[in-house]
Amino acid sequence: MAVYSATYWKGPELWDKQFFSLILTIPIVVFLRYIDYKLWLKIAPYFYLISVVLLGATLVIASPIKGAKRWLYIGGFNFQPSELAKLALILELSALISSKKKEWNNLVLFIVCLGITLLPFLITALQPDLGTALIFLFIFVCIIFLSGLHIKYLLSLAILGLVSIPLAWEYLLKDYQRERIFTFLEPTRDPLGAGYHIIQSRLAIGSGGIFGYGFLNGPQNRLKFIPEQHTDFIFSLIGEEFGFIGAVIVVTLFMVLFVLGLYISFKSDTESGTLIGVGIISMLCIHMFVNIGMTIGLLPVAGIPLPFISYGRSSLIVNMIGIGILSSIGKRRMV
Amino acid sequence: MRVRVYIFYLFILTLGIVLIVKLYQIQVVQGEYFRELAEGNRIRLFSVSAPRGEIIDRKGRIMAKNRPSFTVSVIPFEGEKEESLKLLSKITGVSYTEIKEKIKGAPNKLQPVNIVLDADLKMVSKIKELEDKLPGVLVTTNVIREYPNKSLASHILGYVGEVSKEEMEVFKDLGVGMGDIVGKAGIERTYQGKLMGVPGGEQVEVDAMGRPIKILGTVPPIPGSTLVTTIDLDLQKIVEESLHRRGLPGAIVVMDPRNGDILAMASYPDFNPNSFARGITSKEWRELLSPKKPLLNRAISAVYPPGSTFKIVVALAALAENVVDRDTTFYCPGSMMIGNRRFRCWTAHGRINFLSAIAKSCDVTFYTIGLKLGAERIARYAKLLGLGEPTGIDIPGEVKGLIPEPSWKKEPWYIGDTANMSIGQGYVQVTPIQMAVLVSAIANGGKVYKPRIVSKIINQDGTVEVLPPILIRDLSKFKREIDIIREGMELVVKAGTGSLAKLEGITVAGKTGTAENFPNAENPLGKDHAWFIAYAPADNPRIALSIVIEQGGHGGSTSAPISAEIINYYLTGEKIIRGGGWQGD
Repeated sequence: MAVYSATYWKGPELWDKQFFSLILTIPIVVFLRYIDYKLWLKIAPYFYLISVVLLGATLVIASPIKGAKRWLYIGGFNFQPSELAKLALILELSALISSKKKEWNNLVLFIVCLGITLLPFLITALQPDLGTALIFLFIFVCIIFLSGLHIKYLLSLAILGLVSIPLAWEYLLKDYQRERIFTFLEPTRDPLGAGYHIIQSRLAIGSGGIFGYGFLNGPQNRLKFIPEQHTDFIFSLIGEEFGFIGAVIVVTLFMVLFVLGLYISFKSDTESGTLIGVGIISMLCIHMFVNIGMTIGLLPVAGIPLPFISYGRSSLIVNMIGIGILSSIGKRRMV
Repeated sequence: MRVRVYIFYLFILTLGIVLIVKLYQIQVVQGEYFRELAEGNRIRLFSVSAPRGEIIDRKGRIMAKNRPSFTVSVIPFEGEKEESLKLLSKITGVSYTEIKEKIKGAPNKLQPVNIVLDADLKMVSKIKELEDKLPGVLVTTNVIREYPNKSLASHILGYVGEVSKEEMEVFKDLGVGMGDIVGKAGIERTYQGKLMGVPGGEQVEVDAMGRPIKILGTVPPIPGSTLVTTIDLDLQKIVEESLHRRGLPGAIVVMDPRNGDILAMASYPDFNPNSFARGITSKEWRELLSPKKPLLNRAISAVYPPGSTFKIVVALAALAENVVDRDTTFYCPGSMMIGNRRFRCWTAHGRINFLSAIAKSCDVTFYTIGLKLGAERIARYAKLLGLGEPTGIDIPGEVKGLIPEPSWKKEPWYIGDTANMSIGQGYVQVTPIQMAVLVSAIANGGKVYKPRIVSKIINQDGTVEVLPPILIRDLSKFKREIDIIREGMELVVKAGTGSLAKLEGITVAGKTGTAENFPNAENPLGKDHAWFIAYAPADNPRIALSIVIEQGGHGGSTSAPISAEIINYYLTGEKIIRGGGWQGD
């Protein structure tokens, strides 16, 4: 409904597309529910390899959209290999840890896992899409944390990370990324340029008040003052049109989904099930947090969509596959 | 391990709570502040109008475009001092009282009031020079509609101007706002939604006085779509020259009978649509409202009795209803008693067959067959051919004319009414565009097309909307009857009342008409209107036209020569000038 409102002023085609995608992905979920999730573990290495190759391909052949090479055009539609890579990383990490934990030295396992994570991390960082890149890292941390590997590995990685931040600032970040962090810290620096999204989005959400303006009535949305209102900034529209109540309902629904998902994961009788589940939930959760956080000025702007709600098919399909796998994990445990 | 599970639950929940707390802060605690900021006094939304779409002819030549211009305006709040307004009056030539009145009528003291649209450079530089003495006077640049061909095709194009209250209602769904420039007539009005584009917006933070402090956001406007018309400007020029040379009010519609494309359409007198764009003077306005009615598009908004051109309808009805055949003969002694009145023919034709009766426009023949048919049957065929209803052409203001039936008339229907109807007199009223559609249908073997002026709309994003020809009715089942009428119409030009339409090397088919009038205020002598409808080449028609010249006398002598000039130019590219002369009607 929110996407409908957002796209309403951009013409009905977008709405139709998203709606059909939603309908089309429901059978995927149902289908995956009846597939043993362990099958995924077997194909995880290949899946991982393919998505990394596709990801690498974006650097070479993709046509830049808004200055970043993130999209591949295959079989008649655009898709974002980085979305696929997130899922592949979750599966590959889970497969590796659950099968090799007893055989390998823990430090070796940790370093191999880190390597597996850094590959897509670096490619997406080069695209450049630092936001997505950091999501790979986040997924890695969550999975390692719950894999039972000793906490000292994670701590040492954290220290290494802190040390490398100044270096990354100098050499890894592009100008526009530095700019985004600056404007996040002080949005009124450049109200028409870099600070624009933050100001407009916070203004829209704030002006929604407790009850909101009502469906299709948000003036900021209607007047197109928020760019990308149907994709990354969809939440500013929810906040404007449905107010605090609507926004809380959305956040709460996400929370319910996450808690249910974690419950399923921890109740799984196999370690691989738990790890896959945790990976999927942490992926969805960080997307939600970063996306909403940026629209309300809590975090810097990053091109991270809001799961299930933002317009965008690659992300919708990947998220729905995630839900399908989760549901399969839940089903295996019960029978 | 268990601890880690709890930590993870806690971590996820914390993220959610953080979001909700922040949302609470900006939506509930600061909600009022943001709402005020968004819609209250601090932020204003200014609409930035989009450049209007261009209009081009079928060969891509510009008919309407935009050009930059200067507007001089006053912000009433700041500029209400007498001496500065007097100075402004001196510079602009607009009288002091007029400026004063404009300012008084302003709904908002902070909104600039336009004083001079399309100011010239001299005036602008003078104002800039004396800026200090003219507080609140603004010179802004904007775009203005321009019609490079001046009055050419003015009735087709229409004109633009500031939106009126009634128009705001009409264009409500398009998002037209106060002060917007909209199409007021012609295709400018019909396609307002396509031409206007999507206005952009400027979000400006203002101070307590409403003065802009800084721009917070802009959304650029999307220019309007380009309209591709079916008009051929070269032909339009010839048509208008030919019409203007007669010096009488009238209208000409030229169509492509194969698809309903309007190739040219003229109405005289006409107007210069540019004068509206730059703000019309009261003298110009008086002229436009004069009894000559230059704003009236006679091609679609004026009705005339069709006179003998209506005999085509009666002929079709009579042939289709088996009242006559190609070779049926009649006797015309020059007049005929109907009821207790004598109805005249314009001459005594003697023994005459049906084809010659069409060619020589014999009234007695048509009285005879009209009475046999009866008014209802005539009306039925008239309506089949598109009379009595608007043709649906894509410019506003079309009227539907009248095909009378006994049930329509409040008083009793006399047999004389039927007789009058048979020769296109009495209550019958048609528009020139209807007659053009009718003659096209005869020319193309029975296809009644909806006439169209815009064939393509090219949107700003490069997409093209094609407006296909629309077939309203197919009368092909009357092919045999129509072929006989076509034979008769060829005879009209070859050896009948329309011989002044004859051309070397091109077979023209046509029908003359002389619409008789009772004297009235506009026409004190009750002079006849001169009709001619035609198509050519007769065996494979590519052009069809209808011509009416008010008080022009006989169709054959006044309008048939115009047809010759137009058809010859269209089919050979060669200009000719042909005088009139009495050929019978």
